[in-house]
Amino acid sequence: MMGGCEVYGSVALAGVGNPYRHDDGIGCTVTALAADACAELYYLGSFLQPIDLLGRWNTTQEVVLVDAMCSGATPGSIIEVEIDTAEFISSIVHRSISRPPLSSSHGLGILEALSIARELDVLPARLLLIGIEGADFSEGVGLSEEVKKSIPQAVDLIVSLVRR
Amino acid sequence: MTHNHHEERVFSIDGLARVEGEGSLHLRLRNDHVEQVSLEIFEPPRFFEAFLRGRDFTEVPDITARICGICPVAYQLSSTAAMESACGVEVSQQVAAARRLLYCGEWLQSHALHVYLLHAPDFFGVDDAVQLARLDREAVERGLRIKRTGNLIMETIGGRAVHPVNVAVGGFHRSPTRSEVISLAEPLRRALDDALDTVDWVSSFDFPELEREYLFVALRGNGSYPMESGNVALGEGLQVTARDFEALVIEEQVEYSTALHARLKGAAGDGSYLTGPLARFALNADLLTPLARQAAHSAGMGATTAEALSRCNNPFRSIIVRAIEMVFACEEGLRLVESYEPPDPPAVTVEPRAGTGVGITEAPRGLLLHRYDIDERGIIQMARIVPPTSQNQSTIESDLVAVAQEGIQLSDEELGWRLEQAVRNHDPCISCSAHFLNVTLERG
Repeated sequence: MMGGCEVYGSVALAGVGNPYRHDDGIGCTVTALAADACAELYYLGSFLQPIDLLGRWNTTQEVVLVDAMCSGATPGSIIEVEIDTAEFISSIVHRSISRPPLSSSHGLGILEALSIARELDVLPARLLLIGIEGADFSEGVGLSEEVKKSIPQAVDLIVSLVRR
Repeated sequence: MTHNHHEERVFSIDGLARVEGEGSLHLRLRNDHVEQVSLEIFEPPRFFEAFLRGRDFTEVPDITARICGICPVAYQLSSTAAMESACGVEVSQQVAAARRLLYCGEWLQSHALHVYLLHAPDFFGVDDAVQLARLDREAVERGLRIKRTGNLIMETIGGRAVHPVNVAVGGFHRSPTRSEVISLAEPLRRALDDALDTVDWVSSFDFPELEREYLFVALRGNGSYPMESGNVALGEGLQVTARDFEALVIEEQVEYSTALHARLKGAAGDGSYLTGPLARFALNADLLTPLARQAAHSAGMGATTAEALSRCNNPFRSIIVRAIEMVFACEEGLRLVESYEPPDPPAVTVEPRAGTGVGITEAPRGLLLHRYDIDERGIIQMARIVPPTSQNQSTIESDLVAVAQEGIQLSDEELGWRLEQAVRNHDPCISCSAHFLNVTLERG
């Protein structure tokens, strides 16, 4: 086991992404607001290298990760995916590494980090990934208007997950 | 992608994996001789030097830290060193010590990331760290523990692990308390054990044979292994000040890359040189701690005594040097934690004055040079940032020629793999240098 895990609350929350790349920062914004809105959420932090999340949660927790998406969907649209099987992660990673790697301050991406977590048996008990479609990933701070509009709905969704 | 006609072999890797940023490698062999090689950086230029102009001198540590998510401390400490030099200010010993501790954190997290998650998979013949974790779970767990300790240091001293926010021109915005800093001792002791195990682990790898002649350029430490200060040693003889070195570094645009290529004025040949762990080790092994020297000796790198300076000219063995540097960073970090005194005040007052300042520090992957010209109000008139990957790019291309020539008998697949590995030997940070990896190999 990796060392250093502490006792956390029942649902842990982290934002993934780079707030200095406009809409890539939506995960950081939404998770900070949700943590403020709901004391039952344990905020793991945001603006972390995804690989560094592995030492911040424990295997008995439910973890919610929020990240920006670039899938071609309507900007601001929200998806909720439960990462519940090894095959799911593998298939996504396989697809992602068949493309040229993307420049990223993430170092290793979230899917690689989760795949390593699976190999090391340090995936949380339940893992939910909330994706919010971005419009602008260029350098600079601030969210686009379309993505800003999604914030209340995303925060409500996270809080509702805790209270399910 | 590889094209193979009768006389020509073309190696084209359009998306180099396990490096930070976007780049490609193109190499053409004709009649078993390398005809053309290019390490192409196509990440868009980021214009940091241009938009620093007109900004206040106090803003440099926060603006330049954004250049890289892996080595932000290097950007903060080179930029503050430059501004403090321009303004004629010396920071307190306590500030200097806390900054060096912060740098120990960055070296640990960056070296652990590269050694375990980016470079080691090459030596196991696997594609990535996920497969490595399947083969050697204990090793990857060890690497993540070391990385976590590095992050913890950066969070404690710098405020956060990615793009720290606590560094200021003249010192820090807030001095971490002694109890906050002393809490780093236990993780550092565990990381030291893990770093020593790392040296044993990487020294058991099989390394391709390759001996290169490099002009090593590194800071020469002021009595201790260099991180945040020192003169610049150009090989084992000449040492120059940061300001003199800045005048010697010429940068050239090449058509295929958004990174500038740096060369050293007056140096032999084409002026290319190498910075980074191999250079630091060659020029400073005598300044390592006894335990780090012992670890180097056990790994077959010599360097058991202060007199026995070692050189390692095989770039594939750079992973051993990074592991030795992790041992050093843990020991040095422990020393700094145990002797820590909170800087009081956290920063000295810095009054701007018209002038030029040059700051050079040792980023994990090599020398990082900043130069600023400011006016009497402290407004930046000119900025020059020369990252380690720009300085190493010509030498990496020379390595690729040597690797292709040495590996001519290899299959296209094997040679393509080795060429990628040769780039990763130097832990390039393409995001930093794009002001750029893909591999193309042509054989004929």
